[in-house]
Amino acid sequence: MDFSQLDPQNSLIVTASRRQARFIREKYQRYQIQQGKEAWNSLNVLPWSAFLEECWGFYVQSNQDKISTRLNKEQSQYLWQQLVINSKQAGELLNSQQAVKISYDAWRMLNQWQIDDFSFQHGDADQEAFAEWYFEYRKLLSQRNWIDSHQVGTILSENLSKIIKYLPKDIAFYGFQQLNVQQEKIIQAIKNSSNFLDFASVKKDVVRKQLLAADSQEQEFISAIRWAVEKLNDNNEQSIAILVPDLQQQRLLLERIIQRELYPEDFIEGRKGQSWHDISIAENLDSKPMVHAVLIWLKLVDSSITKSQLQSLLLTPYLYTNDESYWHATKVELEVRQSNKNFYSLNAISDLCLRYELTFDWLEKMKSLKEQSNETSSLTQFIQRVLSVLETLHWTGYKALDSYEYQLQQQFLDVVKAAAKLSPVVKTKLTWSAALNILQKYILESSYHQETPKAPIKIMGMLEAVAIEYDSVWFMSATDKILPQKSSLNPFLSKALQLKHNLPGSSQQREIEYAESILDSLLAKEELIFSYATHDGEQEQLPSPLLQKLVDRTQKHLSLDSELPEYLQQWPKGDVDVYQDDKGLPLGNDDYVAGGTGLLKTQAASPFDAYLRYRLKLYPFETDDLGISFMERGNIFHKVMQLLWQYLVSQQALINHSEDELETLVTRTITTVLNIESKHLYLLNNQGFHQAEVLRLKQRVTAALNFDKERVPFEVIATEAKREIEVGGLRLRITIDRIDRLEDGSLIIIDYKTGTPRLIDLLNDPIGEPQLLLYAISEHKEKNPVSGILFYQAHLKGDKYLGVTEESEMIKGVKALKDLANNPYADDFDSAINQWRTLLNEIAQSFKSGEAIVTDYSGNYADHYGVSRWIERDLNYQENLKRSLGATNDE
Amino acid sequence: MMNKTAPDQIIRDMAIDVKRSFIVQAPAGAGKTSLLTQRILNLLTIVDNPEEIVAVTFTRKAAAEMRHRLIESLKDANKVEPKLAHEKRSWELANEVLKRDQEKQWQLLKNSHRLRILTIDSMSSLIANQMPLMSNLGGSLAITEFPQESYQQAAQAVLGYINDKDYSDDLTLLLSHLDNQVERLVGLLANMLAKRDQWLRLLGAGELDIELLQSGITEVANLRLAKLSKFSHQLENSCLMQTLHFAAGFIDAKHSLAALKQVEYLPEFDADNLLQWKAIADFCLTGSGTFRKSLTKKQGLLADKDLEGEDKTIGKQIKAEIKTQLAEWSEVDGFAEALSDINRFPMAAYSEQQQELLSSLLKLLRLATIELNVDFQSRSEADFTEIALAADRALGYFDEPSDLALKLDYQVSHVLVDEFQDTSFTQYRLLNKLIAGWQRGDGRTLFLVGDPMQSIYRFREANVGLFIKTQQEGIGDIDIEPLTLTANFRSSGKVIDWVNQQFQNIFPDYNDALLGAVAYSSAVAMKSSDESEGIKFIPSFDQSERSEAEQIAFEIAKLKQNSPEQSIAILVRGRAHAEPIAAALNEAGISFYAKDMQLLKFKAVIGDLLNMARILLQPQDAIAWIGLFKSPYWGLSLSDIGHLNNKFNHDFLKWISDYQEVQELSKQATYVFEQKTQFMKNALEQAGRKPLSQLVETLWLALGGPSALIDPQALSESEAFFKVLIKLEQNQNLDSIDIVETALSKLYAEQKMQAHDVEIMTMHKSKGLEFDTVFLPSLERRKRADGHQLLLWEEFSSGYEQHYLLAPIQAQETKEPIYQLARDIQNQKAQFEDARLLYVAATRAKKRLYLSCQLGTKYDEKKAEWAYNPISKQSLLYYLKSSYESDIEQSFSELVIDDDTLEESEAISRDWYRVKHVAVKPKVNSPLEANQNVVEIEDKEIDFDWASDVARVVGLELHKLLENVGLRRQSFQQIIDNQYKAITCSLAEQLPEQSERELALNKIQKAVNLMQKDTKLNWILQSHLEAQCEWAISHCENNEITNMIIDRTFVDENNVRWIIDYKTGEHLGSDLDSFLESEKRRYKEQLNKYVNAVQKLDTREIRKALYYPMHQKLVELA
Repeated sequence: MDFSQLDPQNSLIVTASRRQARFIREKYQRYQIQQGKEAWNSLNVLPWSAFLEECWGFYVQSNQDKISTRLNKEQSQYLWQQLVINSKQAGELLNSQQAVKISYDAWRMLNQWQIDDFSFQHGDADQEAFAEWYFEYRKLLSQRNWIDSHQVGTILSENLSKIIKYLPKDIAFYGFQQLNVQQEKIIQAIKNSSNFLDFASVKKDVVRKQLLAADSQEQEFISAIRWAVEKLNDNNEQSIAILVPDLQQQRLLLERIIQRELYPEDFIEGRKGQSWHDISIAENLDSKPMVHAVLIWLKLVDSSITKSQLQSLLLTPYLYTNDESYWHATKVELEVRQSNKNFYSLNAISDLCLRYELTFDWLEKMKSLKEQSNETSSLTQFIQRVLSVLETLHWTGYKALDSYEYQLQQQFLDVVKAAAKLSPVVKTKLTWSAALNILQKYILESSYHQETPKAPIKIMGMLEAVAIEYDSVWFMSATDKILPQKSSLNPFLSKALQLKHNLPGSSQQREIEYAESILDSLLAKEELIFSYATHDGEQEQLPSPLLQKLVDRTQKHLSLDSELPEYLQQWPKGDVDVYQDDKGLPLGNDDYVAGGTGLLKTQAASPFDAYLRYRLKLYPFETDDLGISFMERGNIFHKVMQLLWQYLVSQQALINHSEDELETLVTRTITTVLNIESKHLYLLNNQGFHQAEVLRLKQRVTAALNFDKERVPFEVIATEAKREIEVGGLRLRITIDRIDRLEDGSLIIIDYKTGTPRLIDLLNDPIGEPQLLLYAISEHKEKNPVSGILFYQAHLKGDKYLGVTEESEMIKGVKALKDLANNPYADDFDSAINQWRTLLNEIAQSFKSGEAIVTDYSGNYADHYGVSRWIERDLNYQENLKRSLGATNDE
Repeated sequence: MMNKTAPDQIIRDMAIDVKRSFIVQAPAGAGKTSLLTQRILNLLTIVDNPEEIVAVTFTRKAAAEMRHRLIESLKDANKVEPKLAHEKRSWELANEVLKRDQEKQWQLLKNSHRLRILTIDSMSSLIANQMPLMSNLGGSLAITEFPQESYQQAAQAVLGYINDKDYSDDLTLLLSHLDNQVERLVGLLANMLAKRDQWLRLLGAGELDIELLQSGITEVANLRLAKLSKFSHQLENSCLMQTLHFAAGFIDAKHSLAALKQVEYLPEFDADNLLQWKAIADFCLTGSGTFRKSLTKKQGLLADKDLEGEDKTIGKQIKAEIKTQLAEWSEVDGFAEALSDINRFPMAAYSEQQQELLSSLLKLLRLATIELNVDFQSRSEADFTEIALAADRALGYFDEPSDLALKLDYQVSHVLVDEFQDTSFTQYRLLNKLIAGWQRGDGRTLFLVGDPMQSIYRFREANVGLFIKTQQEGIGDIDIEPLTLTANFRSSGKVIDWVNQQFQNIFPDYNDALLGAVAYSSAVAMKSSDESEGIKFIPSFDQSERSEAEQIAFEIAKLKQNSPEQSIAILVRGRAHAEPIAAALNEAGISFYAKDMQLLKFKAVIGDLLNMARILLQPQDAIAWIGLFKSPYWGLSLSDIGHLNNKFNHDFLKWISDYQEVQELSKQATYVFEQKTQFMKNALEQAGRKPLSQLVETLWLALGGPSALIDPQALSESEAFFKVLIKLEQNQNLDSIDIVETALSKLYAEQKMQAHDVEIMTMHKSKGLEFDTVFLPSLERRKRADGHQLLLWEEFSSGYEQHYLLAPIQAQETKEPIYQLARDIQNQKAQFEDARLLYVAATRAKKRLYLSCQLGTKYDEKKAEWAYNPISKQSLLYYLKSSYESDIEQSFSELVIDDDTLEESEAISRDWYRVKHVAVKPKVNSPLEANQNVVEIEDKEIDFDWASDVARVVGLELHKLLENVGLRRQSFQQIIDNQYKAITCSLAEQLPEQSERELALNKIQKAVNLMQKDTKLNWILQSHLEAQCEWAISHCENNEITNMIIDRTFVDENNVRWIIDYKTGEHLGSDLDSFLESEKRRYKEQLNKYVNAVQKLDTREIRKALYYPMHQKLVELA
């Protein structure tokens, strides 16, 4: 690049990209400084878009009679999008945005390649639809005297002769790869005029070039970063470019490697190290948590939001004025999480917060905003209002923002303001949600680009380095998939047309040429490295065949000592002590613990889990069932049976009822219970579901009653009997489902189960179902001894009694204790109950003492695995532990 | 590969004939890939464009391999001609392709995209994307990795219609059928959505055609009877009819065999006589489906004592004859089975209730697909099935291949499909549509290759019946010739002999498209064997001295000693089967590589990391907090936790901030809190702001990270965890732990393979691979039964007719005949596939095959002896039973059971461990020191204000205007004469609101009118020496470069340079002078900078001034 021949005041250099313009300006500055200058005439370097802008100014001057209004890119896109989305063809597309994008791209190409008389394949629904959109869009533009942003180049290319006199004397072009027709014509016209300046490109004399193969892409990344570190350690004034074709997809992975390799200290401290590298990448603005939350919040003005959106509002740190308020919000979120309510209006949220006696700033602000926002407004007014409410909300909350967030906030506000530019192409009166929708789409198309200090290691996409010189360049993922890329036709244009005009993506040949021109334009002074991964997951990969003429045929295989950074390799593993921890705090004598028989059951099986559940009160987050949960089904069945027996009282009364009478009674009882339950069980309000549930319950209830008709005579003396009982110094509140008294005065204790209980759970050690034993202890009196403890199973699999009684066949199918083959207890109830008392006392005492040992049964409590470390409790783990204890002790 | 001519060489040569279409059955080790490669090469020598050839593979891995193989062949074409016949052929073909490439300018070696080797999914994408509206896709869609989430959403959405009058009845009907279990219905609906490509097609759009469905059932009966008819010879030439007539006389009308009364002759083998046939089958067979050994009065054959007179004589004779007859028949292969199939066949008709149920179900299923699309729309992503459906829709537009060719970028003239036995109906249909309109002899060809004996992907809807059907009937209008390869280049003679001998018996001797029954096709070994090679069966029992796993480890140790370089694989049917073997190999010190065997979620370090993630996502997650405090990173005792809990309950922020308030806290706990609390606070401070992956990793490292890892694999497991998070965060904000857990639930711990590792993998995974030695352990294990489905369906053809069977789910705890029939068909299919799985696994062996099992034993109280558990029909061992039962018995007889060692329960560890107080963290140094040259980016002020752009735009326009006038491009008068057209236009582009545009224009007009008359401006803009407008200069001072643009400069008549800056603002207040004074102060520094810079370029005296066009003021600065 020879600047000595340039007269800066009369020259213009037009580049293909902004980055190239910056590169040439900087190069020129360095040149001037090298010449010993302190001040100089700046060189006029314009990227293509700015050059067109300048030309347009001249065109307008020279052609004032026929000027139309240019639409900017966003305005054009918006119009096109509206047209496509509202067309009959795009009605139910799965991804209509993509259809908009591809079809607009077809429009762009037709303009940039100046194809006016495009033909389409008749009978081809895609092309026909496009043709319709195309002509409709043109009509719309001409009616409104608008020019789409992609038409500008054509107008200028046709009027260049009028403009050229205003342009500088010497014009040069730099960095253009594959020209479109607009560019070709404009550049050609300038070439043909006296203004053209032949501006030599940068000399290419790379010292070293090589091709490296790695096992995986991650190894490529790591190697490249380590290579850059090595270079900078030699000389930290270098410029290094690392080109990653799929940077967008790899960004987070790459950032992690950079943090680990370049700034390990910062990484461990949670700081973001950022002085040696910058990643040039545009991120989606709307996906940033800060923006995401505020957009949901704005929606609340006139729409409901979904459960997960509300969760986002409650969990985002960006809407709260202090820690406490945020902490409260997370509590509310728990309720939302557990509910299966799917949509929330502003009122519903208010009610929810009211229940917790909480109020949040964003909620109050939204309420007042809602009051003002009933009528329609212009887009500009809408945007003004959005800005003002964001200000009064003190968005983004109380936490100090870091530079990244700060810039994000700023850019977001800029984008919101810029959205007002759509005003001329949208309706003048918009509802809040229509305006918000426009804003959201605008934001969706906008990207966030963090500005970072200039750094020696630049990481960017493969096109961004084109025609820009670095000291060293590493081009990653140089596979045959990337170089050349696969051609792909635009489905809205005919194949013939695309081929005829050699449009982008139209042929493999074009892709080869393009890839070659990119490779050709890579400028490295010292070293140019290409690398590729031999495998992408299980798939083999090959290096790009286009590299053959650039690098030596012999490729080297990258072998890393370790993918881990040094500090992770050296970190002593298993540097641990072993301790015993089988006991928590004992329970004070006055302490009451809720939990009833579940507590004893858990304590019997796994004291550790009982401690977590009943002492530390740990509950998993569970979402409500969509219909009626099994637990609620059980409750309903209990209630129905309770009402029935409260009414019937005796078996005789049951028998006295005729079948019809009984049916009426049962139906009425069930309906009564379900009506009460429907207040909180949403689905029961649906008549069909309600009816189905009545039918279902009727079968179970009737079966139960039929069983009871066959039994020896009894009287029901209690239903849902509440008792308080002390075992092992522990006071437990229990509810006995039902107590029947037989003619001999003895009692039968019944526990309803809507699942499928097992008899063995009464007999096993540890005891699986202690409640019946506990009930027996509670009710057993000399006068009214307990002579049977039973589960009643009300289940589709079979309705039946199961348990034990004093004598066999007192109840059909139920055996006496003494007749059970594997009865671990005494044969008579009186003695057995004494044994049970001892058994349960022991369990309760162990709980009271804080006993919290992990047992073989701890594996049954999966919700607690993260605490009990169950998965580590096998022998394999012990061996590892021993091994690592040994190893660290040796050191 | 040896240079010996294969016995099927003629077939191989034929198969690459590019003028003909073939379906090739290529058994294991037949060199299928080479054949495919050669055919593609040969095709490349005749086509105009490489894209005309489309080769479809089963996986992306296979596609990549095939592509590379072709490229390698082409590259090798430039090398010396190889000697081996087979390689020589490829070399010749490749050379021809290169010539063609040259001639047609393809540049294949520069652009391998031109080789269209695709998976069926990528082919669907290609087609659908090429037709955005026709496919209804709109353009490419991201493919979701977790479609289950969408299915669940859609299914839940269906429930939302419970109050909708169009769907309410259907929903309640189905719900009550399912015992009103809403979650179950939603779950079942969601499961159905994954397979919607299958049933959607069957549902069509309209009403249910019950007759058609009913005829489907009849047709299944016909097919079964047809199978039975193969034994008509036996049935006819027997005493059966006579016996039946006799027995019928003693049967009353209510007897279960009453139908026998109507049997006069042997009934025709069609469904009209099903009832009679069922009675006959019932008569002949026991409940378990074997021929009866004795007949009693239950079958109408009374005991002799109950018969009288002639009956007695005849009866006695008949009973004797039929007994002999049945005994004879029980020796006839497949006879009992065929009869049993009839016996089990339900007399099924769609009851009114069932029809109603079916129709409601179908309605809801359709609704679910609509809801699924809504969900996909909202996510802008879809599952593979949707893409396949889209491609199917798009292809539906074309009747003629030429139309399709116009739409796709190239005409498709030659299609090759690999692994054709694993094609699903949907894929088959896609293929059919792709070749629609192809005609005999039009030069287009189809090449389908696969091995029906290796079809093992039924769970992915692979339908081996399609292979059989195509072999038998062809496809479309194309002449497709079936070929079968026999040469096996992989395994040794001994292995092949064994495989031939076993599978000849294990596989059925017929093909059945409906049931996916495949007959065996023998292989011819191309390799010989040596002494060390062969098959070994190792039976063991749960009471054996050495367990099966230990035996395997022992055998492997021996093998490793003898030939350490040879490859060994252990192929298991289920992942769980690998665990004891892995433990035994560990014990024996044998290194192994078990890919995708251990789920990541069952790893301790993952549990700890998950706890951290959970806290950061929801700081109220008490279990996660306690999990963290109990983890080795905190290592609190339960009593410390108890004290903290007593004080603060679940307010965990207080735990970490105010722990000092808890006086009972142990020293240990206080120390840990002091050390670690800040890290926790830092992480919480950033929660919801930074990517979760970064927060968790930083927190983990800060808390001690690797210090707590006692398992050598754990570091790589933690790596895998972070990579999962990163992958998820690449596409979405992680705001719920469920997403992470779902992702982890399917992820396996990664391991690096070392050279000569023994490989452990599932049999399914081993397909396509080969090893010197293969172990097939745990052959006695049963596989899990399939779960229930809302709808079962079968689609099959008989003759030229297409038949369907649709069975809605049976109500819980009931058995409904049609559903049972469908289940029965599925079970039979599963049985056939099991046999194929065994074939696939066994044929991986090149030299040695070890089969093993470990049978359970129990003490039989009655017989007072030990016995081993019977071999289940659902196990793979079942298929080898006839060959190895005696070995098992022999081995069992030698087994000594020691009662003392029984019931040894596995112990668990109750220890806890925690990172030592003195744990050493490594020294961490960043490799580069802080960069001194960094110039920080200055933060702009946050500005919520809506500022009108008018002033800025007016300023810009006036500057431009003054430049134009200054450069004589136009004059003020011309602007006025042109009615400000250019400016109006420019304003329209810059200011969105009409009112703003008017305001700006007024200001500009006012300025122009003023400026036109302003003599000072006239002087400024007149021709001067070195006059310039918008003069751009750069200035370098203290290594810092400043770029500036000076609005106007010139040298006046006194040789003084002027630097003038335009200020277009308007002062509307009264005291203009003091305004201007303040302006002077404001801009002094800026203008001084200009002067400083210009002085470096020009030594003249410099005067500087501000010019105010709205006030016609030129204000000079001192």
